[in-house]
Amino acid sequence: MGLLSLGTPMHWDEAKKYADHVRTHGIIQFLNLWEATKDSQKDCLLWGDEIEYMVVSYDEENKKAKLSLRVWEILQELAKEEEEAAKDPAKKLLVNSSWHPEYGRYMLEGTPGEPYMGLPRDLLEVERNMKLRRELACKFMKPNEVPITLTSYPRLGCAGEGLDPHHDPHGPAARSLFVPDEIINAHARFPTLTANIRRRRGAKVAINMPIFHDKNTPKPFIDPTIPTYNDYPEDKNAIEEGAALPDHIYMDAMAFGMGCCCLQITFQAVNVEEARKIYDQMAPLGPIMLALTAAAPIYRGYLSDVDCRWNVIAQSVDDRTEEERGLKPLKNNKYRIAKSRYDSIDSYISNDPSNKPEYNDIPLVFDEDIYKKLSDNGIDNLLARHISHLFIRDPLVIFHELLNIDDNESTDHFENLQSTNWQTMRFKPPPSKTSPIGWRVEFRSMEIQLTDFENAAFAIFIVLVTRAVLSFNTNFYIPISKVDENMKVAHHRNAVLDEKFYFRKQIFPQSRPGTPAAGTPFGSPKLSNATLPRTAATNNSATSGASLAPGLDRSDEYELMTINEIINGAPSKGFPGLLGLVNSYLNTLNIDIETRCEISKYLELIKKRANGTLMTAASWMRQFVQNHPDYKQDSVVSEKINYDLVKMIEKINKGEVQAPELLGNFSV
Amino acid sequence: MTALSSEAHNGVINSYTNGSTQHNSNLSDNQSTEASGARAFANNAFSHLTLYTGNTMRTGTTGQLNTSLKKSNQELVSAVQDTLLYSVDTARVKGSSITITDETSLGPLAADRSLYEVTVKMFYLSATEGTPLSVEQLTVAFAELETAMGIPDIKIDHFILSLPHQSFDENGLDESEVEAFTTEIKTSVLPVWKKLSELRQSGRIGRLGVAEFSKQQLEILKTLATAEGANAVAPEVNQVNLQDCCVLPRDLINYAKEQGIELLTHGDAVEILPKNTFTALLQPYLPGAAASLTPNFVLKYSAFITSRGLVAKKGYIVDASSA
Repeated sequence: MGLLSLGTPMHWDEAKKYADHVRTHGIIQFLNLWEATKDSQKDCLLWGDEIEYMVVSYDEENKKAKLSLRVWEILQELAKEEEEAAKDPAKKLLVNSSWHPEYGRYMLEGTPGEPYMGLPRDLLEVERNMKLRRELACKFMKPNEVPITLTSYPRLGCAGEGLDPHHDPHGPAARSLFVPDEIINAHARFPTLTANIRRRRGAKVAINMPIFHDKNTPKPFIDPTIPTYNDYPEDKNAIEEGAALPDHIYMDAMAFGMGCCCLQITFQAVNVEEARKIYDQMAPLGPIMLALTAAAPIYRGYLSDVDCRWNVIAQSVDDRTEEERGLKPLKNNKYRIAKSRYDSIDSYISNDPSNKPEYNDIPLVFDEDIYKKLSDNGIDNLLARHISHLFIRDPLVIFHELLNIDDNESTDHFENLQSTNWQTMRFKPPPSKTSPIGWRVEFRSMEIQLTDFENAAFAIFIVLVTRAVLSFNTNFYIPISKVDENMKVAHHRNAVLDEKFYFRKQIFPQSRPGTPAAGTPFGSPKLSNATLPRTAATNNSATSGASLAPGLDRSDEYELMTINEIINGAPSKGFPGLLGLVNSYLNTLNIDIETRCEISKYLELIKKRANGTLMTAASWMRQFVQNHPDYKQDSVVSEKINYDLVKMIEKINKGEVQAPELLGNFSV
Repeated sequence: MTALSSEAHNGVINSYTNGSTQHNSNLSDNQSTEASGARAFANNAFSHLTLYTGNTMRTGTTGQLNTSLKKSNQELVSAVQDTLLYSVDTARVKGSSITITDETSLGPLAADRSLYEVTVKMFYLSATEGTPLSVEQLTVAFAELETAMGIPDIKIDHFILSLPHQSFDENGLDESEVEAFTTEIKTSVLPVWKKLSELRQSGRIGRLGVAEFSKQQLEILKTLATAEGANAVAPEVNQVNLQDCCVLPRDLINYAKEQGIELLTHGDAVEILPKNTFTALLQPYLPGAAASLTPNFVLKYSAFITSRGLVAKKGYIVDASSA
């Protein structure tokens, strides 16, 4: 996560004085980079995945599953392996991975050693590499330690001995009632980030997730496990100042959010235009994939009423002051800001003609001076708005030693802000002027799944969707406010089956009215259009890409669809679904039977999760908890339930136990 | 109304027929006004027709397909419908030949030819049993491909020959069936196969293959092709139906591995363009020629950018003539 520069980071009181310095130089660095790389062309599709793991340490004697804070030691060993692999090609094949620290001291992040390529047979590498990574990570763990891929650790922040080694909560950096500072990665950047968010905001972050009201859950639910302290001013936040809402699970630290794990995919585009196009086309899929991969129903030992992590993380790094949040009139701050710096994107950025102005319907807050500077230097309107919107935020971690750098060589200040705007998509310029890496797009909304088979399936699905998007030149645009509404709905318990999401109806911009491809199903009477001469057809505004006056109501372009319809299609509406698109794309390629058979399995998983044949991890975990003999129908996930759940996840991964409602007959 | 291979199309074709009735009555009402292009030659009898469909990747035809169908000609029928609807008015008529070209199919490949993998599947359609497949039509096919792709002396990376009525049968052939198939290959297929082998050997075809062959059938073709004096190549590719890709017989898989034959998936209907379907498609637009024109072959082509995993172009060419 983010940058890992070395040095001494500034306290917020000092850092805030240099906010403009970082922003100003960040823009200069971007412009320098732009000048050098705006025409760069990369002929190959290269892409990669990022898997985040939690390391669990079992206390078998007492049947407890704890989070292991020993990860930095494990990382040292992994770093040695990587170094040796860099020198020895034979070793490289065995290691073929890259390891990074993450926010949580119990977290590990692994990526493939080399990026994958884009042909169907290259996609078969993904699961292999993910399994290799897991094996390698295990190599340096103690016998009672295991890496698991779980989006939210159920009993993070619960009282008792949940960490190995144990530390008491309520340290000076996070000042959390529930978690110790030792849960945070020891590298200077992370505790500084934590503390500066708190300092800037003027209070601890306040995360509230609705509790799941089960038969015996008190109504209203007032959490009896919130401790009282009297050491810091922030100790008043929870109860006295009402930050802990009734009927909610209250969390007060960045660790609850950034200590969650997710699955991120990054692709290299052929050039900056293609990168912007993929960014826009994949953005509406963010909430869809969030609902489909839902895997985070439990927080701080309670069953919640949400199935995903996104809002938890959004609230966990929300550094907005009361003024920025609209609770007080603007005096010391410049802008009213609607969202946390971690949230879904606020604007489309492609200059593709199908990106109509009406789709950017969220009033965008951006820095006017930065916009002007970008504009004056040749950056087009949409990109300038995008960047000047990212730059309304303050840099949270500034290292003394890196304050003054050469804007011609470094992009550190630009990356400072770029990497602390955490959104559903990230548009990534080349890392430097001379790097062989090109313009990239990162897809960030998916929750990590329990097994590598599933993680590979979702990664492969996303890559194939991007290939289909570019091959068919699809159009998924809907007003961005509708994408935001979809994000909210995606969190709902069992949203994958019970909710509907806005999605574009006519996804082929160049299809011609009156043809089956225009969304009119076979046998439709609409074919009376067939006798119209071609010129009349272009006035058929609902289906063609004809240009219309700006400010037009586009509400008949999209409608509410279920996840099943979006993924598997709605034949009666002539809507192929994302899997339909992917299969049509694959059927056009020369693929050998083995490869096609393997890929079909991954796509089959996606299909079954979307049509409800198989449960999401979130639903499966709920079912596990609710069926557990220790469960008292009061939403409480005890230590025993937690231990058994983690053990079960480990066994499923090893293939020792089947979980047919989750994985059907698929072998993991 | 005659049935089409894909049942789903019945409604569409009925509508077209209704449309054409309306069409004709308009014609009589507007006798005094200038007739449109289509109406001018609608009642001609043509001796030859070539139809170039649009780039089905861009018209939505390919994206819209029902991919759960076992073997389908939905894409071809859809593409031809689309092209007739939008491009029959701009058809080029030269004597008794008509060429209908969808504007989206025109235009050469956007970048360097070396970046693309070009695949062509040629469906021979009109051969009568016992007579050789026409080598002359092969020449016509190549010329039409060059027009469609905008590339002279085009090199085809994968060329698949699809025989009429050839459908994969996992049950082995008995002695009489072996004999019958051998005869069929010798008399019908070998002349065309030899010509294709020449192109393969001269480098104009990268890899040469067939579709829906069983292990025995591949062996028979190989034996005949590589026999003394035949000067032909053994098949290097065999297309097998997509739906069977996870349950193919072991003997075929092993044989293919030994021989270096790529087993690639496909989803094309065996009868890709039955005469009835073709007539029904043409009827509303060229009523004078619809009944007499018989499809000779269909070409299915695609251009794939391997380094980026993108399909740049996909389309069909239909070649038909009257007896």
